[in-house]
Amino acid sequence: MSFFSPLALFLGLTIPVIILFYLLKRRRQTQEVPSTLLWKRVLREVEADSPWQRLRRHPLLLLQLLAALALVLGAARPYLHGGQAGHLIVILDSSMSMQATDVSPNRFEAAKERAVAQIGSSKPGTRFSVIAFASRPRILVASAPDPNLARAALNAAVPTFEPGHLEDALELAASVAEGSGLPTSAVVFTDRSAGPDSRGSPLKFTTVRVGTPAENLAISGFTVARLPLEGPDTSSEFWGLVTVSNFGTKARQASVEVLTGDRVAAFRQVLIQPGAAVGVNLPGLPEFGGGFRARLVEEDPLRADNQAFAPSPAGGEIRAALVSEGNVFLERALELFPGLALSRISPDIWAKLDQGEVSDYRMVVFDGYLPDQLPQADLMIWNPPPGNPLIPTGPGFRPGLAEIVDQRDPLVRDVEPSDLRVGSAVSTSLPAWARPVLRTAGGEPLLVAGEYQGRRVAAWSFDLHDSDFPLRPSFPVVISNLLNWYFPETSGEPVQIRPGEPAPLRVIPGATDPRVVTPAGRPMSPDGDGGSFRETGEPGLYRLEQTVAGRKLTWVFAVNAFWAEESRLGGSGVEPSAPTGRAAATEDRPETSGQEYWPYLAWVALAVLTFEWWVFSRGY
Amino acid sequence: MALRRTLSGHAAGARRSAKKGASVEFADFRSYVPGDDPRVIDWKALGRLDKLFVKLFMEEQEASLVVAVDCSSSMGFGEPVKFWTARRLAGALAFLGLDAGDRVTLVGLGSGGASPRLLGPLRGRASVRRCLEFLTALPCGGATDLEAELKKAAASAPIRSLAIVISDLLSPTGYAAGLKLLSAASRDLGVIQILSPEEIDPLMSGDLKLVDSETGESVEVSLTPDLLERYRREVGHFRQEAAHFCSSRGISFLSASSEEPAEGLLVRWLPSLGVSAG
Repeated sequence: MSFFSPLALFLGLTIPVIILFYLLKRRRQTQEVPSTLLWKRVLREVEADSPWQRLRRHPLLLLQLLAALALVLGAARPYLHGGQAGHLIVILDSSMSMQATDVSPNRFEAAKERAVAQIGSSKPGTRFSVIAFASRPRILVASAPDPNLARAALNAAVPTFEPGHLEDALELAASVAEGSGLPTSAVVFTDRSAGPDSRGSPLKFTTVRVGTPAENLAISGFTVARLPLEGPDTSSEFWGLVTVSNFGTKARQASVEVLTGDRVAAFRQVLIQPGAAVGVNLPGLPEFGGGFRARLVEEDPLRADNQAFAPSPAGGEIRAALVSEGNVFLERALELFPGLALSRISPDIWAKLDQGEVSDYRMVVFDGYLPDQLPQADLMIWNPPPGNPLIPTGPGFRPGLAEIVDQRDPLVRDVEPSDLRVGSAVSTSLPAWARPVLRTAGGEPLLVAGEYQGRRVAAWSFDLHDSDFPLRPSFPVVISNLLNWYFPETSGEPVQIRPGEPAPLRVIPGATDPRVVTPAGRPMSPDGDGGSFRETGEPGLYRLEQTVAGRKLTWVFAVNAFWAEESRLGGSGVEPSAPTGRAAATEDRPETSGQEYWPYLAWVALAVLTFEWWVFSRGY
Repeated sequence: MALRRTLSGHAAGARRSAKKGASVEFADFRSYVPGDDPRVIDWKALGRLDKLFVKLFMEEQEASLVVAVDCSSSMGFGEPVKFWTARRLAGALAFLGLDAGDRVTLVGLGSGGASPRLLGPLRGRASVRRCLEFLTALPCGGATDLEAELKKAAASAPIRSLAIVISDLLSPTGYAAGLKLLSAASRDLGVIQILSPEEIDPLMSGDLKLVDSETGESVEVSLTPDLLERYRREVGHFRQEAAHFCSSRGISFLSASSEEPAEGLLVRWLPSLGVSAG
């Protein structure tokens, strides 16, 4: 027999305490009797009967000791090894909340310690698998016969800043169990107070819980925006907005400071009610290129959510060209985009520009014209001429009402389909590099978008003047969506990336040596085509550095651990409005299911206590 | 009050004596020897057998009764109090004795002082009042070495008397040696053991510190049904022990509860002593 919680055997110290209490509580009532002669004889006889007679005189004590023993054994959670050595899968929660220090040294280390003890108590010949899970499960060891491998993997495991998805880990564990072909027992070491249980799961598993409900303050949002100052000039200032949430059960004072580098740029204190979130405005932040860091001065069990990062709002201009014979609708819509310096160029002049001049533009809008040699810039094409090198065109047709292909496509966010009525268009076939965004009822593409040789290209297959679209509210919206897509770093909405999520990168066409510098200062290459970066496990400011035409461009993005479910140290699965501690009052109560024996011991304890009550009521 | 055995006293009384004498109760015949009182010659036998026989008659003498009452503290317990029952018994016995013309001596065992407190010997019905006053005034309390007290009583009691000891026999020093001595000193000995109902079947419960009323010694007990049962068995054993001791030495023994009426006890017990209450 082994124990899941052998430390609970220390509770066995209650047994001598019960005996001590029993001795102390036996304050005897004095009663005078004619003679103690016969009583002495009786006691001599009783004590001579057997060494247990003294205890037999105290049946209540014996019953209480028995109940205590059953409870202590139950708390230690005994389990019997199976008849044969099997397969033990250790599933370790490495989500952000496991960094909490409410248990020493922290939940993660405590869980590891218990997991190592679990491995140590396994039968010889057992095979071991170790799965660590956060937002994704990872197999650290698969069906290894050597327990030292599993121990080493556990010792090397580190907690993440990601949320924990136990369901995925269980699915993976079920696959691992199936693959091993051995009788498998799985033990989940986690701080989650709610979650799937082994009923209905393909894998029988036991849960060992660590952690206690704890108070926690967290920064749950942080943005820095550039706001224009009142006045004739174009000066602006930086405003910081820090959202602080109280995931505890008591109102807490929070001291928020925003740092530029190591210098405190702003500081405010706020009182936050339990379960509430407060937005803290910090105006007048200095201009700082490296990005801002907000942090809470107060210490709490979870430090990981006590700081957040925000990049400096982009300044400067993005140069764009509108190559058109004249399109006032497009001009107006493009000019609405902040920071966009638009040059209006007629197709004749464009054809005469040399490559050096063309390369100054980050984006070019071609309206009814497309040069043979495409510039190394993002492109927005309206009404592509026949025979152009990019989009195969056909005869004209009358599309009528347009349809949105995918409502979730960010390019058509907030766009009303009924606004898109087109009189005539050229029929185009969908290029291999593009996806349809808008189409006719017959499936003819009206707007396609995609990446072509490092450029982002959006192509409309009609002339804006053949549609009432420019007069519709959706027109500036879709143009804005497109520009946000071209220039995510300048888009009005902050790019909120959370640990483990891929960061959408924008490697400028023609840029050389693009690389991402992590908060730790490690330069890394973007994934594949440079469209994203996945190594975002660590919160902080990341810099995308690239060289375009000899100029070094830097774009900063922030990764923040804004996980409410992880900041709520009472445990996951709690309603957002519920104060943390109360909601997870059962935390640290080891729970289990499977081949354990504590329920039987609990019943034994209950039965013994009931019998003890009966004996007591009978005056024994 | 009739005695089982004939007496051997000197003073004439209402009790039959071992001596043959001048009473009206015929005892035996014997051959005439010169000097015999011619009044006792059986003339009818002479006529029938032509031999001289004289009639022998029982000579009646007075008996001596000693009633010893245990006055130790332990007798002061019970409902009713054992000592109260003991005094009623002693009073009834004294009355019967005086009524039969016996000499009655009352002894308080352990009622303080170096020697047992003693009344008597008294004679005549008129002494009943004194007896009752003595018993009423008899104090109960203190530790009693029953064995030593019985020895003293044996020394001070009239020789060849009928002695009756009324006690609970609960003495740490025991009662055997004292009863043996008293048995040897008296012609007949009876022992009435009085125990209270609470002693026979205790109603106590829980954890108690029991203090001995005589010695002040204490024992700690946790009263469980098992222990109480064992105690009851021990009481029975104690009573049987006393009964066996007495029967083996020709001592009449009665063990009774203090709640039994004294009269009923005497009617039940006196025949076993060879005495009838009539």
